[in-house]
Amino acid sequence: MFATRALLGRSVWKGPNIVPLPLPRTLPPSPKHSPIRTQKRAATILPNFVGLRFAVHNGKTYQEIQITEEMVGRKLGEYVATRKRFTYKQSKNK
Amino acid sequence: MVFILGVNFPERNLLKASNTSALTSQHDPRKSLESFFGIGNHTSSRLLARFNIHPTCRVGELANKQVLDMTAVLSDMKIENDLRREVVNDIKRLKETGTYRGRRHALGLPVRGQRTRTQIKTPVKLNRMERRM
Amino acid sequence: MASAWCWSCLSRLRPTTRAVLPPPSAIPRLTSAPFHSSAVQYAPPLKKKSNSMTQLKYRQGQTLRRKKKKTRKALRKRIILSNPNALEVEGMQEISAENIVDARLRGSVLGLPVPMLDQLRAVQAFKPKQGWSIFRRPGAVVRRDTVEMGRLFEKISGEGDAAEKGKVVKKVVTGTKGSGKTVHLLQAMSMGFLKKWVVVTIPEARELVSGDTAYVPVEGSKPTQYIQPGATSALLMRTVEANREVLSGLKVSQKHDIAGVKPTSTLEDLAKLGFQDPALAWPVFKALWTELTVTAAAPGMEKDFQTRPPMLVAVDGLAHWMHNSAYRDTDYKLIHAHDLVFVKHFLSLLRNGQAELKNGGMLLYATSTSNSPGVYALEVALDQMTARQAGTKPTSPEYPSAEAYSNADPRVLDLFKPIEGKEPQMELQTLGGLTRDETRGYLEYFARSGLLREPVNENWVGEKWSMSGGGIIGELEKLGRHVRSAAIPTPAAN
Repeated sequence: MFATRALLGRSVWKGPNIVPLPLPRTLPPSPKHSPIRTQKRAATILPNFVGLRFAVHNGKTYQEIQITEEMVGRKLGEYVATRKRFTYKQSKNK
Repeated sequence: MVFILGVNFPERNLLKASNTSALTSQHDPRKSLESFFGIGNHTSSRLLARFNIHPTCRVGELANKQVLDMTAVLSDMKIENDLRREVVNDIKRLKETGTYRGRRHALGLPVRGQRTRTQIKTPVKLNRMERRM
Repeated sequence: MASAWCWSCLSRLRPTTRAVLPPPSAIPRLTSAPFHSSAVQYAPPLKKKSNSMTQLKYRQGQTLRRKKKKTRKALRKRIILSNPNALEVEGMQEISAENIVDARLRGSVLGLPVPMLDQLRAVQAFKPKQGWSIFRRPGAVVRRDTVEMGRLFEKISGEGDAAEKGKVVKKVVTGTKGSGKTVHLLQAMSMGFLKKWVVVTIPEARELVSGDTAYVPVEGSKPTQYIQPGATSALLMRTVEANREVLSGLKVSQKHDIAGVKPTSTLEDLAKLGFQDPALAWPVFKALWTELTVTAAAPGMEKDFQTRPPMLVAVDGLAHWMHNSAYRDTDYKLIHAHDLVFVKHFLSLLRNGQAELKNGGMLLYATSTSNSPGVYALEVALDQMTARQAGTKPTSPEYPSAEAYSNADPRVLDLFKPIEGKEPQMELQTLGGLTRDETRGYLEYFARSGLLREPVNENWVGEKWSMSGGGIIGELEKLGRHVRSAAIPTPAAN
């Protein structure tokens, strides 16, 4: 059996998935600074992202998330759902 | 009756023992150590080896000192309610930060990418807002 | 044109039965083909109204048949030594101190004296499924190896022509499955009891390494050794039970650091201390062992000293002692069987060139084929021993050795290592099949016990001898039983 499934996620030798993102030059960013639009859902959240706002692509639109301390080490995509909740729509004909 | 970590075990119980549901544990003469949440075959066999107790030892055969040692070690381990709390807290954190996994837990759906067309009885049973253990 | 009549069944040729029968609508099947009874027979039986009583009965039967776990185990381990339905064999001799060397008795079955049965039971010489339960009384066939062993017993006891008092004989007994290794040990034990030796047995070597008894590390030993108090106390109990007569006649002759030992106490008292308190078992066993192997009393204690009798040590299932035990040390590594003090003690007796039994005696260590872990190093060691006995020098290229990269256990190879010029040496005794004459005697015993109906003649014996793989006694016994079940008509056949 596997020791834990979490270990199977990604090889350790690869390190975290560091993706070049257009981070603001000054930290903390000015309040005017617009959220960083990105489609890189697989990008690992690094410690220096904390406090930033990202607009992550969900396949259709860009959703904003605020990065907090607890999110470090996870992926951007984890916080933006790609699916809609199923709802039953009454069809008119018939 | 022998008192290990606040639980009374009948003397004829095997010390190590196999997995059965918690309900039968009091009547099942085979289990004592593994009746604790968080102790399975792996941990219990190592514990026995550590105190030089043979695998088919009965609870009644333990020397007083061995019982005390065992209790001391068990009280240092993260088992029973401590462990349950940790697991629940981990899940709670996932929910609070709004991750996909946390959402699946809250919805009572499988968390690790299983199909949901059929056979999701276990997550329906366990994954609630207040996770059951 | 095909006839509407079914000629073969001729069903319409029996009008009388028809007349008696009720109207056809009631039993339509019978009217169709009374000659073919199969249709009626195989038809589903009339559906009875389900009766709750009958169902209950069935269920009860099921529960009764499934006995409690403990009862089932007891039944499995039960040893029956006598069968009142078997015929008593007239003129059957008993084994005695005199006739164990009698070569004329070869091929006859010697009964075990009744008083000795308790002793043999105490040392667990009998095992289930050895076929004791098919005869009137337990007995064992005298074969060549038995007579040779009898001579050795006489020699070591210091009787007979070629007396060699105090000699130590070490034997590893091997042989194919069913060749009678365990019964050979039993015969040795019975001879030991007859000659008033001290008999120490380990009937199941596996029990010491299977992790079923308590183990305690010895402080400060390196590598750590382990005492097994429970197993030791059981051994003491067995030994005292079986050798009470001998042990109660011997007085303590050395000083021991054990509470409760008085200078006047007998060896029986000494051993009893051990099984009352398992923590004391090992020191008591060591004390008992030194007492049994001393040749002279300690100064000041000579008054009651009697020379100690020779000893017989019989171990069954040797291979289990040649690999890792099921015990684990504090680092969760498996403990090698040789690190268990109990096992080590008995194995060190076997080592070449070591004469630990100062008063002489015999060591019989039998391998088992029905319950054996298969240790490669032991196979190699036994092959080497065979080669040495055949005269191959260890330096010669034909001398067998472990294959490269086979990872043979060096501790096992070391145990069986030859030591030149030092007596006593280990011998390998391979039990084969019975000779034709012995086979004949053995099968005649079956016949005289009422188990065989065929006349035992030369041809028949020859056939059975070949069928049993050349007189393998276990196979012969199976054949004997087989004939019995074939000869008695079964009720189903009527």
